[in-house]
Amino acid sequence: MTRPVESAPGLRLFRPTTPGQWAGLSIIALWVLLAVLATVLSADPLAQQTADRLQGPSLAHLFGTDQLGRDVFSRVLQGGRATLPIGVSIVLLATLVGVPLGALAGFVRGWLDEAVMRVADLLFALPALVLALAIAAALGPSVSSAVIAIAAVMWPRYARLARGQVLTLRRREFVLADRATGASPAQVLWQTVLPNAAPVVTLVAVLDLGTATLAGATLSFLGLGVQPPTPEWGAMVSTAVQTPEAWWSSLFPGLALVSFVVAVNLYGQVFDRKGLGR
Amino acid sequence: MPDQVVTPAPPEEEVAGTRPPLRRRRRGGRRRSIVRRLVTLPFLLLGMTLLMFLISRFLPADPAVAFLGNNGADNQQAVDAFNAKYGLDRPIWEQYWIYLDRLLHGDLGTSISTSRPVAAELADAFPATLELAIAALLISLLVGIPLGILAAARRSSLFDRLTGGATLLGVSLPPFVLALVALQVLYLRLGWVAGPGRLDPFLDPPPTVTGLMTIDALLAGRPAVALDVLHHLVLPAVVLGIIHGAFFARVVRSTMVDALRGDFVRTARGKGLAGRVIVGRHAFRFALIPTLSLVGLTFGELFAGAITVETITGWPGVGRYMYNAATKLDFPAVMAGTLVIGVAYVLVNLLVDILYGVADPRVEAS
Amino acid sequence: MSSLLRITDLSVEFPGGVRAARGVSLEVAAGETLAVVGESGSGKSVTALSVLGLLPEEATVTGGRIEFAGVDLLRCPRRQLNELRGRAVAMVYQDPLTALNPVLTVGRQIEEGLQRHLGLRRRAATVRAAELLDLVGIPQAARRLRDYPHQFSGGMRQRVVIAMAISCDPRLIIADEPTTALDVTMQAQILDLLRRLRDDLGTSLMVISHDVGVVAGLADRVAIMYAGRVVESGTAVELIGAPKHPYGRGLLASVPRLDAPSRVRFAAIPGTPPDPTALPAGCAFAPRCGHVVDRCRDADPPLLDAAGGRLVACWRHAELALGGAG
Repeated sequence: MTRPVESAPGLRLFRPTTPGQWAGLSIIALWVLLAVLATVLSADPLAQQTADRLQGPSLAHLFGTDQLGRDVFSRVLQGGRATLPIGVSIVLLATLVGVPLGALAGFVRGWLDEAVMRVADLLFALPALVLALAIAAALGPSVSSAVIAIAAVMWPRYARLARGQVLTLRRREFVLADRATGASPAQVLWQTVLPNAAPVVTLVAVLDLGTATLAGATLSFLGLGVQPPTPEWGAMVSTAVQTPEAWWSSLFPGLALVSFVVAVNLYGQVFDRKGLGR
Repeated sequence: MPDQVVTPAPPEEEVAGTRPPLRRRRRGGRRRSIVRRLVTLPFLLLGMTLLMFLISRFLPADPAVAFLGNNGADNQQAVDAFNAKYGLDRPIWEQYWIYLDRLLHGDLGTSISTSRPVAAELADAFPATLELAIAALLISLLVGIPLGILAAARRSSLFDRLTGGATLLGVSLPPFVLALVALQVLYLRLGWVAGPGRLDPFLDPPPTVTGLMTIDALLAGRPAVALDVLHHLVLPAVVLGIIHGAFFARVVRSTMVDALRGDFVRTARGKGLAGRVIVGRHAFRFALIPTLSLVGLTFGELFAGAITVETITGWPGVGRYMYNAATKLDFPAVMAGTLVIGVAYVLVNLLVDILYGVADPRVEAS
Repeated sequence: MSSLLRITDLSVEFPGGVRAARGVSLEVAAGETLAVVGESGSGKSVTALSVLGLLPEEATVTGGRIEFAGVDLLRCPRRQLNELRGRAVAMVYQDPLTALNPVLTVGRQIEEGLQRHLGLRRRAATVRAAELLDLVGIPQAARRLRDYPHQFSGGMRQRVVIAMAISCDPRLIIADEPTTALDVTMQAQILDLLRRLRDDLGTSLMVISHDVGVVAGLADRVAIMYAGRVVESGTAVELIGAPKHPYGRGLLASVPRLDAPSRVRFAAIPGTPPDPTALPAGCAFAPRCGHVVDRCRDADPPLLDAAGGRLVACWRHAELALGGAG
């Protein structure tokens, strides 16, 4: 039996069209590359040479040293290995939790739908970062706490999205036809409804990458995510606050963070005119 | 009707901070929807307390340790007293009931780090954040809206492109990075703004009327004090104002561009109206509505941004309180602070919606 | 008879090589009502919008002149055009729901024209706006000024649009499909209104419609458009009674009649209008014409004089008029 996928634009959707979008994608790729190669390209980020603490940028230390004498350049490069995966994990977790829940709620309706929507409303009623902070604090400061906490605040968006898609699609003929031939709800959901919902969900997920990464960095800034001495961009800015005259110790991780988020937002404009409005 | 960046999740989707979120409007008009919101308000607040209760009981490995801190939990007597007081040996619903009861009596717990009642500390800190949030909001609207209008009116011009780039940067900046840079430049290097605190320590604070020190100082007839407060307020307010100003600029531009494509603009041109009138009256009014609907949401982002910005600039508000509580793992303070911010956010949203409904008598088509 | 509006050889193109208007020539004399009839895609709306320069951004006027009272509207300075818009020439649009600004009151939208062109102060403008609403038959006019467009029904909204159009006493009103978005009863009312206003105020009228029935009772002269050109024009009585262009004939024959026997099938013109990006070399109607000969396919007929002030763009119009078989 054919599974008609109505609106599946495929990978074409993700192809950049303007110079800005290409730039964004390139910067993202660059950071990923740097993160992967970080250990090769830089020195030990934990090595403390207290004699050299708080030195400005120089040939020996391209980005200077922080208050414990560690090379900021190495820490920035390796910080990407913490900051970037956190952002990705958050989005992945939020989608993996939110989409099935929302799709199921939209499909079977009834009390499940009500329950999921009420919980989502409740979660929307609090400022996201604040609630994530509370959850992360309750779970105990660690990387996984931060990821879980932020994902816990983000999943309702995906749930709503998936539910909306399911609600629109469930009445379409091909879904009804499937059900008429005796396919179980789960089968119909998996094989027909989800592939049609996938483009919109992916779109939002990509755009959320920047937000999620920032949130993860912010929680690390607050001490609730990545723990010292592991380098992470947000955490690095946090320690740098104590020594504001040493501008290099905060500027470079800050720039790294900003450049990544700008890149995601630049690239994200690729979805602007693709008629994916609901 | 146009139917959607900074930190997590406005309810509906948006694209790279350019489109305003679609707002679902219920049938029946504005008044009925306000009434409905007022009716569901108690349930929402209750739900929030339940949420915070569940988080504080079920997430930590040992709630007693979480509430008393590592040192406090060493003392078995303290732990027992804690268990008795909060009924940790009782069934969950009793615990929740005790929790609610304490809340309604204004007991938000005791801070681990300062040993003071959290409620008192929050009461001190909250007005400062409110003042900051309002100032930042005003700045963001005053900067963002005109910028968005001009960019839309001069679509595809160099100005539009530059503004587009600047605002993209603005919505991508983490508040803590901008705050730190601004501190380093404006305070350390240039000395243009004042240091930490709301007021120069040598000045007496004005009597509290509204809690907003600038207003209170003016009400007390002491403009010099008001000026000093502003001198301290300007750094955090500008930092947050820029970031959200960029957001509003993008939203306004996007809705204005949509508005300018509308048939009613063609009608206006057909009446011989000048371009300025068309943009300023027709398109702007049309674009204003979805823009203002975002004000409530922005408050949430402002509260969140305040956490890091207040800390870095030394503004003594709830944000800085939460930062200290989080870094010191002051569990009761974090939980109570979150609840208070949540409640404030809900109330502010409701208030904004009511004001918005009063100011704009046009009922959205149901 | 002096012509108030003269469109000469107007050509408009859209991106993608779409030639929406290919040398359209029309005239409206002072005090006269001209109906422009054609199916969608014939270029009639484009022509109407071109007069006041209200085409969408992507459209380009590639040739022609539009003269109003001696001024070439296509080439005059913007300031002059704005003086004329809404004042000397006013438009009524197809969809009153989108034509009105949903966030401004109806009163405001009428008043702004009065303020702009007649220099009325706010209070005087409000009074006059109420009078206008009353004139177009909206009850409780003064109170309704403060209402928003969505608070009116479709027919009422169109009356508001008409009120806006007549507000500054224009010499010419261009109505682009004024009744298309309305149901039948409203259509009749709006047409009555237009007729009444035209008679009372002596305005010239250019009505665009795809429905011949709509304009039959209103027009002095009729022009039929097809595939971006005028293919026939003449007085309403003569043209509707006896169209000479094969398309015109087909159009009028396809209008159902109340007095026809109930079993008669609707006469439809076979085929579909041509793709505006790939127009045939000769007469654009040739592929569908029952009387086509080779000459039709080779050369596109211009508007030819057919006596009695009639213009027909058909090589065979004379033979066909005599009942010559195809």
